[in-house]
Amino acid sequence: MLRRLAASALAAVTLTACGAPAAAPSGPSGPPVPGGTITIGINSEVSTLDPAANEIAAQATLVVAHALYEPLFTDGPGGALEPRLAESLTSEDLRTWTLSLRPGLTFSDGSPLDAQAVVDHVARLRDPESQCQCAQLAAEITDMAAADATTAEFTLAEPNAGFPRYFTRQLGMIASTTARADDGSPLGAGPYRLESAARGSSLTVVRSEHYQGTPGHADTLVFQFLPDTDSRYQSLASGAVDLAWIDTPNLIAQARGEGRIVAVANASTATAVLNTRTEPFDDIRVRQAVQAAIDREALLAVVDQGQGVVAEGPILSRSPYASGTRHPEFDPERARTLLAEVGEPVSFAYTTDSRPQSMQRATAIQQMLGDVGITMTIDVVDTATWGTRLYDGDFAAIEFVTSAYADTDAVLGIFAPDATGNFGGYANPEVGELVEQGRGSVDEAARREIYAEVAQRVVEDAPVLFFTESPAGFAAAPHIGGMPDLSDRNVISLLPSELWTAR
Amino acid sequence: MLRRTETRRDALVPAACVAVLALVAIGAVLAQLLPQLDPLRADFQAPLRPPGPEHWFGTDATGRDVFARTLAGGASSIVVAAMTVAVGLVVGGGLGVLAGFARGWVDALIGTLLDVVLALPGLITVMVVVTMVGPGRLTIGALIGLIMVPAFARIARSATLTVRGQEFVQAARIMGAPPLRIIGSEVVRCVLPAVAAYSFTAVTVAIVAEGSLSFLGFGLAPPTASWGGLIAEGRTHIATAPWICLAPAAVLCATVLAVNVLGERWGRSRP
Repeated sequence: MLRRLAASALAAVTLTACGAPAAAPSGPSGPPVPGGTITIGINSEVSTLDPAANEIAAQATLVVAHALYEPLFTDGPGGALEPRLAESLTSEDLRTWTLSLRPGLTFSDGSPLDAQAVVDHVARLRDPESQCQCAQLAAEITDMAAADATTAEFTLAEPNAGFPRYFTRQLGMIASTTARADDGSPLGAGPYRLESAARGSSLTVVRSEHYQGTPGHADTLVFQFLPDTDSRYQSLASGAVDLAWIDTPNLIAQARGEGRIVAVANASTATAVLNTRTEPFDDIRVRQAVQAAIDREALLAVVDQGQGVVAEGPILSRSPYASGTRHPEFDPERARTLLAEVGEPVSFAYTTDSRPQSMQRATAIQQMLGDVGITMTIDVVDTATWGTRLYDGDFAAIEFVTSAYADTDAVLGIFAPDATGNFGGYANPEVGELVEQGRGSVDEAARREIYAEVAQRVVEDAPVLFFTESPAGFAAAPHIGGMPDLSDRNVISLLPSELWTAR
Repeated sequence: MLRRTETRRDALVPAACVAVLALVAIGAVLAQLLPQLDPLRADFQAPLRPPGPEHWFGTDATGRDVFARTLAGGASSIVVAAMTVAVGLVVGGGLGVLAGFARGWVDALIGTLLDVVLALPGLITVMVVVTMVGPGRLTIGALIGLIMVPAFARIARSATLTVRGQEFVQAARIMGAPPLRIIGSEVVRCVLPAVAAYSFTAVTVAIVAEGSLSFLGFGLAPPTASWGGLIAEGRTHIATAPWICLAPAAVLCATVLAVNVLGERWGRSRP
């Protein structure tokens, strides 16, 4: 009796600990229940499932790709890669890479997914006509061939330590180049296959009988396109969706408080890109003044409500290459001195989309800059316009919240003078050379040192302002089981086949 | 006895409405003048504070005073409403009088034009134009005004038609007065009260339309305070910090109600 009391007291203590806001509830207890339908609210429309169209390669839409294709690799804990359809991708010299696939893979029509299918897929995305954002990355491959059914060899133009990570996004979402579904949609080899698509509204996928791994628990997954943050959360609250993408700090806090299961990580880095090609940010002193005038701690407290961490530079705090970049301190006096040197009044427009946290960040920055005498206007545009401006370099300063920084090897490349992702036209040839050197270093310690140098140069030249590493992820209703703990991830990689519903 | 209570209520209700509007107007002016009531200044140390002695309506997620922002939001609404009525009265009233007085092909042409404007979905048209030319109080006010033009014009036209056939207008015409002079001295005087009564409705439409536009993100650019914008900013926090939404919503509601009641009284009291 006494022992039972003690046990229940202990249970009560544990329960109380679980109820604390920081800990996520674990969902329904017991073994996974097979069957049923899980509805997932994502933040943008997916109009085509072709990996080359990039629509399923954003952090919030990766969950669709995980259902239909299951990439060769996904992001695992602490920046490591977890093999999915692949067994391994290895190299001695970082230039010739050997990919081993799991044996016996098949696309959802039963046709084999062998090494040749991977090579054909990569060749299609590498094509100069391809719309894939990965085309430039794929172009690093000078030669590739299937050695046998499950082995492919890749040769790169230059050694690149970050090559395997390319296969977590478009290049790893192997779509059949020989067959298509009856409705023309591409075929993947993931745990689910497309059942139907309602344009502008939702996608329905069902369990694929040809999947070679552990089958998904739920019979059917429905992905609903809900672009508005608040409506998406309200859909979760009302039960219209079982899971929802969530990247607004106060809604994450609210979801925890209301007993929902939250799988989030500080996976989105809030930054602003400064256009170094035109006035006023062609002057490094103006960039440094803006950088010194922005109090990142205050942004963290106000915009992220203290969740997440301050971003110190292009290497994330949880990157395997984390090296303690020394970001210039918040120092309004230094900002004023720099501006006095420049002599002319500084004013510029800050372009952002209309998500609540983005507007809040913009207004807070506006006040901080106003305090040192910089006039900043806020230019709120819709997401499509924002994207066009970013890619066309049509901005003075533009907010860029991205998961790209999760991949240190790849993202440092955007600071090279001619890189596609170098939206602000930052040109420091030394940084470009260092990035090349770092990627080509077989010795990991040497690579880490060079990357640290790159990061330090970047924060000192301030072509991009780093604000916070902010929380993002999925929140689920309490009846959803199998929600993973993603808190040690750099990219939110939710595998929908592991989810189940207790209803 | 019954009569006295009615009389008292007759006097009290409009007085209360005038008081609400006066408070909104004074608050809007004070928010522009008093540095303590800066709607843009944020205290980053005090986000999401509930209402209290320091911040009467609490603070928003960035630490800005909701009371100051609500007052300043009133200024946006006043400017937009004034612009709407000005455009509606001048353009709509003018076209209506012209159509009613001239008749014939002028009337037909203006009628067709107004039907075209009426056929456009109001808010969507404003959104499209705002996306192209950029937001601003005057732009938004003028656009809502243009959307209201057909309503003003129809009222002005029907009032003109009744005046047109009356003796004093006929007399002026026979005496050889030029048409513009007749319109200026005889017609407008009679048409104005009818159109002015409709202005009250136009004001409420303008305030609500501006609120809707700002709520949808097509209104005034942040950080400019506007009631719709404040409500939109606050809705993410409605579960944890309802005061951010409720304060501007309550003031918006009270203002529209007061204008409506006054407009109704004005309409009833006219001979």
